[in-house]
Amino acid sequence: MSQVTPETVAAWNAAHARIGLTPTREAELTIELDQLAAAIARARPSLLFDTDPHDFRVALLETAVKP
Amino acid sequence: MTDWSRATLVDTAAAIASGRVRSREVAEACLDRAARIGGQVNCFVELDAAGLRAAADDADRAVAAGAPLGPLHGVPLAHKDMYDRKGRSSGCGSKLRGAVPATTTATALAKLDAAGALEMGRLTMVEFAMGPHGWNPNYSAPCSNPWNTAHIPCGSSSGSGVAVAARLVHGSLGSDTGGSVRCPAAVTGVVGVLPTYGRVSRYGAMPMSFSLDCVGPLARTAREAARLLDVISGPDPRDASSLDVPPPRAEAALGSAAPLPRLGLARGYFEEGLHPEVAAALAEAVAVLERAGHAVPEVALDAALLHQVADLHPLVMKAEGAANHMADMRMRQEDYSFEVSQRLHAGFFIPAPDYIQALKLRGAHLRAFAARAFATVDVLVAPCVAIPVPTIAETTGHRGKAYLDMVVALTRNTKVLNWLGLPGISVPIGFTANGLPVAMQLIGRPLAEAELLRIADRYQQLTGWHMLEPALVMRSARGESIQADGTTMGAERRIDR
Repeated sequence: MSQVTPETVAAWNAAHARIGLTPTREAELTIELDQLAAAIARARPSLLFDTDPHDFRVALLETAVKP
Repeated sequence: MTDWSRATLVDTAAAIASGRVRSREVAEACLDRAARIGGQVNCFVELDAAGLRAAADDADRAVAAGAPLGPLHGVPLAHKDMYDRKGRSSGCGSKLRGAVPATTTATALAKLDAAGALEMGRLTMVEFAMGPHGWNPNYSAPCSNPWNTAHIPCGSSSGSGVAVAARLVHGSLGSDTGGSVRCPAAVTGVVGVLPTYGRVSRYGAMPMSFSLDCVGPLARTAREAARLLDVISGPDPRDASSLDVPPPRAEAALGSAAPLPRLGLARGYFEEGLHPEVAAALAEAVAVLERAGHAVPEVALDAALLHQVADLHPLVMKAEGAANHMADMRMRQEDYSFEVSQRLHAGFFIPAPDYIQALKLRGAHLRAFAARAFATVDVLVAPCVAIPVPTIAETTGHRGKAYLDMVVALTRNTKVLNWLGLPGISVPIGFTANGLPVAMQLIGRPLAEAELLRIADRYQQLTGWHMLEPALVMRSARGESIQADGTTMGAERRIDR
């Protein structure tokens, strides 16, 4: 069941993105947008409130090879 | 008589420095090969013969004067057409760029300049580095795989892999957001390095997705790649993503007497969807290492974690890509190719909370992956491109599930490293039945490039895949006429190392 509809895409495009999309393309995009929304929805339960995206740089050095 | 376009970068640099050969002779050898086969593989956007000759003459005068010489002195290179050089325009594979000269020079190019490297020209790439198969309709002729010109060179650093494999240059810079250095290297039989995120400055490089983009070298062997990586690495205050760590000194580490890092065969995720021929080549590569006394136990990875990573990678890549291209997509969408437009579209409709939440997960993903993957080993052996190299015809003008599955198969094993920020190296390990190269991917902890290159170098001491040349190169070396017939060329013989 699609969560994103062609109408949603068309409305958001008119209000914000303002790129050239045909009605056919608006309908096609719903599939990809649903996939991306589902990807973050599946990952969301493991999110911590107080994590900063820049924590990734901390993790890089934390897990790095030690000289 | 040595054909210096086919000698290794390391040997060539040593010969120039010692006066055994002039840089101008090397340049002429590369230009001669480009004249003979460049029209078959179409990897140059611009070949600056006059500039190369002038720079080579300058390099020879420096040798004659006894000036201090860098580790790449007088050696011809060429790079993906997305690096700024002051006074020059980069096209980025697009119709939208190329008109305005850059006002500064990319840090990676400046470091190569300082090391004495010469630049032969600008190399083809996928439009705005968005696409894995190498096809770019903005070029008049398709960049083609030198092992068989009917097959794709992969992308997005398509010209880089082709130019190095075809012995037109001794090394090249690509860029890698989801596999764009490693995949072109894999399908052209050369070595490609994805450095740790932040290891190499991106200042002056075209952005695709700032959370994932890395600059990396392609070369014929691990030793050559190590030299290039050493030169271009290091902190850069002009790049906010730059890590404050010194270069890896990877080439020096190749001669280390220390035991090799511990190896493990990646299991979980990487073997999924693997073509039997690729799986067989990987098994044989592991067997080669084991026969030489290096244990390669299986390491069970968290496949669910890697699937999550693979699913989130396009969310961030597309959101950041859309942000970069919003103005042009609004005003000049007709100047984007159909395929790149389609790739960008979704990025304009990704909610900001989804994008930010995805980024918030990266640190936890990396910690979880590293804890499990590197608990008992230092380096993972995994497949690179999961399928035999497709033809150009199979990858152009198609839509639908089968086509999308093929595109996904090209980068499913590489893009997860970009998300995790880990270094990875593509190393040639043989050929599939269609005569095209196949590669393994070595994966390490952050900043483990020297370890990966030690393993790659050790493997190349045990095997000869990296010494094989496309028949296209062999025919041109013999002075034979080259037919644009697209037939299988394959390898003819090995050259002396």
